[in-house]
Amino acid sequence: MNDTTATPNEGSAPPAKHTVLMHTIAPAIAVVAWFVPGLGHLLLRRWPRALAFFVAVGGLAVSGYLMRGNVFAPRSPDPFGTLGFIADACSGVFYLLARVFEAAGPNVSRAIGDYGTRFIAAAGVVNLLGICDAYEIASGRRR
Amino acid sequence: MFALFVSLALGFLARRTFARRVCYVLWSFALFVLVSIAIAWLMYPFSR
Repeated sequence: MNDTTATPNEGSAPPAKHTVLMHTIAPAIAVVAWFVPGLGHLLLRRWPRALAFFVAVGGLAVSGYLMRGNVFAPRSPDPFGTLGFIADACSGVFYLLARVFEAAGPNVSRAIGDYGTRFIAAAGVVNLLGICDAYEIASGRRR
Repeated sequence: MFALFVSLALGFLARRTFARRVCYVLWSFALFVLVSIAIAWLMYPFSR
């Protein structure tokens, strides 16, 4: 007869300490990855990904600023402005340094300024992908 | 430029080895360019 008095948790291993640590640092890695594109991957020792995301996000953002695209402010009267701000802000330090890169201000009266606006928003979206990737690597769901 | 930077990011997300990343980046870039040209030609009759 089988012994049915064993409790369900007998013989199962307790959660590994490194798993708990990973779930603790993963949000911090995501915040760092937002602030400086690629830094989250750098801290996780994924050097090629770190460089690729930094170059991609930085290239898109700086190109957008050089084209004098519009940088959306935090408070906007319409929903598109709010969405634009969210997209721009996802690029982290590149959004915070907008005044440095775009000293002359936006100029959307020409088509190239409109393209610049799209480039700046795309930089934020690409960094969002990088943030999600860094978070998944840090939490162990992705190698 | 847009196609180049986005393809670079997508390549590193989607593939793990160097050779496959390069192929994916080039493939993605070519698709961006070809689709952009195709859409431009599709919009051409409406611009006249």
